[in-house]
Amino acid sequence: MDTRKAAKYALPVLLLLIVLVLPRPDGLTYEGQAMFGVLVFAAAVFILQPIPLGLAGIVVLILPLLLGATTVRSTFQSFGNSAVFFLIGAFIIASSIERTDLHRWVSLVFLKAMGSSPRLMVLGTMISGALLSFIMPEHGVIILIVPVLTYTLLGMGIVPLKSNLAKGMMIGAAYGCTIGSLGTPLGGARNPLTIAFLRLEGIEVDFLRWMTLSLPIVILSLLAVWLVLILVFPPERANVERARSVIVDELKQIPSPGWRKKLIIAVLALIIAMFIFLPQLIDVELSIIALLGAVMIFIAGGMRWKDVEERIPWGIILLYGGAISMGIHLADSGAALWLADKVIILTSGSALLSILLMIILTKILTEFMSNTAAVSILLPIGFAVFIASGLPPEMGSMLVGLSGGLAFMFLFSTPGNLISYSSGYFRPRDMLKAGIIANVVTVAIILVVVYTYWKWIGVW
Amino acid sequence: MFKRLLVPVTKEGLPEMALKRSAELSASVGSKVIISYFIDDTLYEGVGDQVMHVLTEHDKEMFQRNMVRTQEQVAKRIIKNNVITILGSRPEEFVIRKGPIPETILGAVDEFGADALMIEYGSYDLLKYRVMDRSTVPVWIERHDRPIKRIGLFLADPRQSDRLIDAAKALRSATNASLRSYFIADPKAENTEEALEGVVSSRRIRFEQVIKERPESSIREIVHEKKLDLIVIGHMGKKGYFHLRSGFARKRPCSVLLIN
Repeated sequence: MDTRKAAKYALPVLLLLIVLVLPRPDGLTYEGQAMFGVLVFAAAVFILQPIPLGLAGIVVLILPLLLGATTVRSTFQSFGNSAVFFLIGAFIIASSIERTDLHRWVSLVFLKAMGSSPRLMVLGTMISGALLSFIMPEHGVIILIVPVLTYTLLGMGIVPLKSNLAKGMMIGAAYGCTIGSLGTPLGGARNPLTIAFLRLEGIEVDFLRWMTLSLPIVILSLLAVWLVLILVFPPERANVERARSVIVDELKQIPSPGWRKKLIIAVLALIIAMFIFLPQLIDVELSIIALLGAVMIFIAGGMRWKDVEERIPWGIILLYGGAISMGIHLADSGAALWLADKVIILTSGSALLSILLMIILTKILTEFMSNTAAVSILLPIGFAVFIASGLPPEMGSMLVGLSGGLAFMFLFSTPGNLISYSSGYFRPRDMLKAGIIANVVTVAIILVVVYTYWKWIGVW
Repeated sequence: MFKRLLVPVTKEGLPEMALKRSAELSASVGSKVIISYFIDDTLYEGVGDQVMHVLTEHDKEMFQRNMVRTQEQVAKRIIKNNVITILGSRPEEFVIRKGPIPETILGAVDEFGADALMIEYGSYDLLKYRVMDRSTVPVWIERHDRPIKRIGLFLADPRQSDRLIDAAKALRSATNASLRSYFIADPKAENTEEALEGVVSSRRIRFEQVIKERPESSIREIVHEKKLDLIVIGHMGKKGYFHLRSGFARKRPCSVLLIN
């Protein structure tokens, strides 16, 4: 094992040991101190990734137990949270979209509709990515739409690395998916994680409530980040007619859906309607709808069991289970509240500073580690900080959940960025340049929405 | 030479000047032009391995498959038609090959029995992978779309004289261009005069100038001064040739026939 790899293993353990042997501050229990150790350990593992994230989830799950900070019963109860099943159901539903060609159709229709100018083509790319990310995880969307965009760009004769339009479209696709993934609980694992955490604290956030809170941020961020992209990469004059003919040609290549595909699309529409409206009519959890939807997809022929075995990221499910367990233990051990009291001293109890702190902290963390991991670390802290600041805790967790999705700067920040980069149309520094500005702009947007719209609808 | 000419095309776009030149050569010396679209399918291998282990193997394979299929479709549906437009007729052969560049290009040279490669200056892919350095057949690096009226032959290694002189003379007669010859003396070699005389007497060729110092900048100056459209040159070592090529890009667009 080389030194670098050994350091990746050693550093998290070293940090854990340091936290454990430090003198325990007043007001912090042993369990709380141990959970801080686990938190620091998890943060280091999530950033350095000496082991796959799924395995990290298992370690984070059992570590509190080994340190005597929790019980066996509590550990596995938290892992078996209903939201884990929501995630499994959501992944099954999302995987069926790949079979319908819906992604190609949506991407091309938006490109065609907005193909009258290169600037609008960038926006069309972002909107199609965002819309698809409403119903499936963002990384799944980007995998499907990057080949469609590559087809269009190659067909237009655009040379990789030499075109601002291509940079705008490819980075825009990644950003569009990232922003769109905030739109509904189906957009990414961190969304149901947030909902599950809030539920455990006795706060219900259903599909519609999530969309009510997130959509203004999504719409404003899409428009603002589009402006950022066309300012940073002013698209060159492109042969719009050629682009249009390429898109129309590609649209013609999509086979007209047979009855099976039509059925799957209808079932998908029905499931989304169930997610939105069913909780308004009867008392039903999102996880039940997700599992029911998964069964409906199977019956409609949208998936086979072999597909499930191949397509479900079990590593993420394990990470998710470990992360939610850690969040619960951080709250139950009093560690989160203890930290929140210290944060209050820092922010002098100011609502603005508390809100800004959580948004910025989440955004920094999510740039360097998996979105879900970053959110899992900060959810209990955000919750506790907002309670200590006299602000609604739902707002704290929602801010962490929403900000945690917005990773714009680095290729490794989110799989979408890396997949888009692998198309070869932009350099890492292009994404960094646009990402820094996009981060600043989206922090401002979240702040504005929180202080205007969220106040108006009575969140606080 | 130039009986079977391979023109590689990559996702960087159509090498329009190289295609036009290959059509000219086809008309003048009867070259068979093989146009091959190369897809580097290794580019997408393991995408996502680096980050977070979030993607399943299925995700990765599907992405790789879709990216390669996309390029195949573009090649068949769009690139081929654009090639026909540029050439003014259907290419005799239009094929798609997948694999790492440049190994696949060099493999295609063998597969099709090509005796020359025609690439276009500015192709990042081809320059990055130094296809011209590794090719076993002559490589024509096209830099402009002017007719070839003035050819310059630059001979550095007497052992290469037969191949270079034959190629230059063949091109002269095919294009009706004028031919000027220059000898690049190796400052470290002791028997330069002997070598020069040997070539002159055996090939009955007259060198206009013997370049003794700074061969790269001297060649650039000659190209500029004599308004050369094409130079025929042997391989002068990777570094030397690279500098030479960079010089052409800045000063005067001049095509290069590089014979290894």
